[in-house]
Amino acid sequence: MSSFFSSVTELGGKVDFIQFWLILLMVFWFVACNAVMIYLMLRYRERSPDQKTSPIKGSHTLEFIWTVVPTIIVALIFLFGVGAWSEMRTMPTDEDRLEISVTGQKWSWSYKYPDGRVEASDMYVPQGKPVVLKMRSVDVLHSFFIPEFRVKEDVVPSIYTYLWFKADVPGSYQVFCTEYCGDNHSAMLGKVHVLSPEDWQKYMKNELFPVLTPVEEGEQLYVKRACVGCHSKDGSPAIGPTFQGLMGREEEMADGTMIVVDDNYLVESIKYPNRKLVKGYPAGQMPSYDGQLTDEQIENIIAFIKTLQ
Amino acid sequence: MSSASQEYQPYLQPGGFKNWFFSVDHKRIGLMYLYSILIFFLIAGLCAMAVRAELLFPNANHQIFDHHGYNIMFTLHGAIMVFLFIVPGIPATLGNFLLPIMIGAKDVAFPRLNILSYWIYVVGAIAVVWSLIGPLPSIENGLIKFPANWLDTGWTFYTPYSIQSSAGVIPVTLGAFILGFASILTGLNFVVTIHKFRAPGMTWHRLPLFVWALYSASLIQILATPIIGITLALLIMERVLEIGFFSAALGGDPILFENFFWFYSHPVVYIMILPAMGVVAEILPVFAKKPIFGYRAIAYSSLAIALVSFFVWGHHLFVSGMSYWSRWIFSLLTFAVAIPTAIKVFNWISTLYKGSIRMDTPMLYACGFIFLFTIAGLTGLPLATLSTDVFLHDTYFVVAHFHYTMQGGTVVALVGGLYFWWPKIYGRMYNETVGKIGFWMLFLGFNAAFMPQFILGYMGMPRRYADYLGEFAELHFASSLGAFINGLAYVVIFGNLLWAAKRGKVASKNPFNSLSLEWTVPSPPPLTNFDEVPTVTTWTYGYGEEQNA
Repeated sequence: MSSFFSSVTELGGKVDFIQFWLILLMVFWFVACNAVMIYLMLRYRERSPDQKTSPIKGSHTLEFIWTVVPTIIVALIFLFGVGAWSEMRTMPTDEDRLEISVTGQKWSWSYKYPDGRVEASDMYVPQGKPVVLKMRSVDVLHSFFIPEFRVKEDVVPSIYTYLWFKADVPGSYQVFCTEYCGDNHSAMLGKVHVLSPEDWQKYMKNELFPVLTPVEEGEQLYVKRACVGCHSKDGSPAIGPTFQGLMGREEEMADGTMIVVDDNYLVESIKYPNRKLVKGYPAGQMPSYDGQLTDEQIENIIAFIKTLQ
Repeated sequence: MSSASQEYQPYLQPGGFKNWFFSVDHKRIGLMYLYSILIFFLIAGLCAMAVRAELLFPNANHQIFDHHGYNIMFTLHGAIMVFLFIVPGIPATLGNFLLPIMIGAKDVAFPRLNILSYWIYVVGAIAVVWSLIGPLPSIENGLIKFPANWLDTGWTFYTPYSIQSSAGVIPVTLGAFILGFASILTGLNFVVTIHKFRAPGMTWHRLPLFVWALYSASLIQILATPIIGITLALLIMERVLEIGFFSAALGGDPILFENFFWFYSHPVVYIMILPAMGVVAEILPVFAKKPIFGYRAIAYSSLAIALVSFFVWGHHLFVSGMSYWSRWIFSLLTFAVAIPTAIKVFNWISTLYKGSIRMDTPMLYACGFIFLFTIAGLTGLPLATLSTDVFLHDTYFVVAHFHYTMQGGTVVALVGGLYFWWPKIYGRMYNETVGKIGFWMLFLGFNAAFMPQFILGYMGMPRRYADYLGEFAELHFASSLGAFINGLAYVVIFGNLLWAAKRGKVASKNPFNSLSLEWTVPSPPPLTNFDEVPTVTTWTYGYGEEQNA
């Protein structure tokens, strides 16, 4: 994954260059300070209890030097450190840029493309083209971090935030959520797949992946939209009720009423999870998927649930 | 002091709950504060051990808690360490005990406010503990499961998660709100005491540097703490009344909370570290038998740090969606903190020049502090630098940097200070050999725990993760082993001190040949410190002068 100093973007390379010089600087000052300290500790160790010591109280010259020198150094680091960042924060306006809307929600990422296609967890982008991410959260704070591209920005419910990159090397790159967002924060992972021009053409024509059956697509969504984080498919207890044997099961609601789970109940619970909660499960855990999943996707997930008997 | 050889009653007598809990004596209050915060240091430390035990291996091989349980552990670790241990930290313990004696006063300016501060601390602590009352932890499917009311928001209470969480956010924030008053009262007391209660001849430029450091920290306590109080009150109102300050769903702004929170919580790290720097400045000259180098530079740099600390909070929001120019300016201002900090380090090290250095346990801690603090300070540079912070933000690099300042800095100085002044506090000596063993265990364990975390950060490992990818496994394993040694070190360190308090060799009035005022009174000091107010005629750090005169 993110091995040190192997950024796959030009901008990432610039960041690494700064990172590298800062490491050298840190090591230099650390060694310099502590070598002097340890030398003095040994050189002036007590040899006899009544040993004479110098009454020296300070030196204006030294104070002046070690005020001015660090000031110059940190000023230079600041200026040196603005460059790559400034580029990072200036969104490209190239004609051929790709703008993707990123939605963060507990605990998965979804991506909407200009042509209307929606991906979950896995983002596909063309090699060598600038990609601008327009990001928004539907629940709590998240943060979109692609270590190999050296970019990160929080994903916030009240405003859009932006991020951009231009990846030059095809491959799959890790995405982390880096703002604590609750139980499955550490499972809110994703991938950015950088496709070669040929693969990108295939992807745009829906030829890159085989066509899936509704159940297969439902199973994929179960993982990618992070249903799996809270609903097991083998009956084991988790944050939410298990999907095993869910269809047709009689469940007691928080208000004591009994409901037999059917298609209508599942659609309602996916869109508005807090309306009819199964007893024993706290409200507010599951985000609403209303508008986050298409009707067809919801049907496919239900088709998948039906297979878990 | 004329009373040194006469009969006197040390402040430790008489004992009994009433005589202590209702005492207005600054020394007793300092000691009660000390044991109170150490209880929470133990609890929060055990949470840290639980966190590191969970992270020994990736989840696939090994799990102790579910994710929710892990989140509760790191939250309790952080919240308890910050609000109940390290904010009161050095000022309320060593500060309370030493400040009046160091300036030649019989007590602080407002002794009753001082005990009120302690009582408020106790009430705040009860509120925090209250949040844990309810169902007990249970074991389900071989995993430890904590009740839903235990706090899981992280110590930062970021909205809107803290508004939506089903955990007991209100008792904890209420507790932190209450604890704020304890902190304000201590700060207020110190500032007035330093202004008004200095003995004749104790001019500002003769003050011990620990007092300068406490003064600077107190200013921050007074000025910054109200902000967190108001912020947490707003958060409680938001949860109860759904007004719409911070919740986007109600038209509020979650980033506003981040600004409010860090407007206090950044300055507060200087409440934690400035007194630690003061402790180091006291220990170094005594064991080097040298005047402190650059007294005024060190004193004024404390004030400079306190001032600048109010203008750098934005660096916590470098990737939060803050505007371009805000980030730019906050980066520049953040670098300004580096300058007074560097000045202090250079002056401490120069104090050793042409000295006669005894490496007793307190001195080991002082030099250990400088070693660890240079790492803490220098690793702040790539976090202040915009280009590199974007990558390092919210990774383990930040966790390591923070722990180098707080544990490598503040806790190491607190322990060093306790070893240094223990003979004054209890009139008994610690065991030197065990003291040194404790230091080296702490030093090695701490570095082993947190050095790997810098590398994890450079590899992109995000913080607050209950589980991690395989490529991080070796470094996490190493970090956990280091953390266990680090934890064990405290058993040795505090075991030695507690043993010394009861059974240590009786200490003389001034076992380390220090020149500052607290060593002119008997050990342990009498209740009123001084029989008669001392008149100060010399600078506190006049070492080396009589030999060379």
